[in-house]
Amino acid sequence: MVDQNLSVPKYWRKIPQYYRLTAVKCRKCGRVYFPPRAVCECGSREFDEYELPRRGKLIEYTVLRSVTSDFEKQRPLAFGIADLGGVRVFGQLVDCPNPDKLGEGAEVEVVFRRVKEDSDYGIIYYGFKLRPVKGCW
Amino acid sequence: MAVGIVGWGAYIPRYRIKTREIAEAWGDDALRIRDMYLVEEKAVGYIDEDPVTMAVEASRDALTRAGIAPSEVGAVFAGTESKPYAVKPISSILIDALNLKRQVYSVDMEFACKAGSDAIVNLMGLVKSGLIKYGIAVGTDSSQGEPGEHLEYTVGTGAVAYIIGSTNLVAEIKHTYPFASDTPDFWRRDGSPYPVHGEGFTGEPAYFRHIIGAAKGLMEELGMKPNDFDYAIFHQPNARFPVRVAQMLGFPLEKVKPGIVVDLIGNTYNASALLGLAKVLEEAKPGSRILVVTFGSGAGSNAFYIETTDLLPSRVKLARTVGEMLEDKVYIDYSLYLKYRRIIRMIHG
Repeated sequence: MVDQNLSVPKYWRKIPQYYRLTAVKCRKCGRVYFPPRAVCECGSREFDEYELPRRGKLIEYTVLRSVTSDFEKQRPLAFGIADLGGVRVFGQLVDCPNPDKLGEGAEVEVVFRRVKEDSDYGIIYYGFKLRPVKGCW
Repeated sequence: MAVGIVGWGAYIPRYRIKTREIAEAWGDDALRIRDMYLVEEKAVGYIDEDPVTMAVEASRDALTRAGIAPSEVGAVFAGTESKPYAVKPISSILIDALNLKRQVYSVDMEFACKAGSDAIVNLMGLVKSGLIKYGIAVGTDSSQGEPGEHLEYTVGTGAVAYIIGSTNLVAEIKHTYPFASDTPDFWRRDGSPYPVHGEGFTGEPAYFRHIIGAAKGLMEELGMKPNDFDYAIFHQPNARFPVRVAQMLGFPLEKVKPGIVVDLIGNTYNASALLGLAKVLEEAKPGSRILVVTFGSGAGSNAFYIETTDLLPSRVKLARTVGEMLEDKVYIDYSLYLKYRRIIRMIHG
């Protein structure tokens, strides 16, 4: 999920995370961090890039009907926390008109979507969202 | 050197609107409209979907089916006529979304609905010349249809991607044949929100002349006849045109029907015939001979003679199939259609 009011350079720097869920994996203990960290809990500063799997399970979700101005025309917004290969990732749930139909541990897939845009003339911010594989209606 | 398809991927949005729903909004006779176009319903992208997002989804599945590393891709070409940016390429977004290397030939191509197939032809050349090992050709569109005009009944949303290479082919592209001319059948002026048709120019001088020209030219060069093909796939602005052009060329209905998707998702423009090919690849046996003829207004066609290999069946289930996506749908009404397609003009948008 892209933060609000991003500057273009800030968005550009985070493209690997927004587009591909690029995490880091500690070379010493194997812990995976998303978003990436500079120092592992084990003290190591040596990491390899690691792309999270694009399928996982939904752990929890919530539905927002009062949202910030950038997203007013997309109400209601559903957000979820998904377990992607042992890493918990927070993201918008899409193609899910009725989240109440989602069972516990529903399978979700990572999809590439527009997140926001700066008016009709500015940049379009793309990033990942979460989509229930079997839908919810 | 044999060149062809190493992997393919398709993307169809989950939302659908029925022809009947649109006809009711505008006071048209739904039965008459369905009879004219033979389109039952069409795919509608959600408010956050566009040709870029669909291109990424289709390309990811194409890479999965091909079983190649993104770093092996040497070119990515995107064919579209509905770019979200007038200036800023889809192909460069694909480079980062797919984690391709920086040393990639990349460009967006435009020739109405034909550019996706031109991407394939161009990549075949790059592969044959040895400049690249693999290339990604994308056809992706979420095009425009003015509310209340007949184009609104058929303009759909979808994308398709093909990995072109010379090893591990699921289908060899054995021959291509182009046919193009300056024919003003359909256009959208710069800055105009909706395209227009050139009066009676859509059918005979445009679609039929170019598709027949390319198909006949290809068969004459190869010494082949309609009987020599197992499948024939044509550009599908509606479901009537591909069936009629097949009849004109001498292909029976059973060879055309498997490649028709427009009746359920609408005309996906640059994805149209190539999405039909993706569906046929899901059911074709090894050794199947396929004729594909694309068409783009303006106007031109590319004809392809494709033959499937023994590797094809094992790749089908490695990613989402067209068949699965045709079934995975949620119907929306006309008001949600206007909202999702961003047709409602708003000050606070």
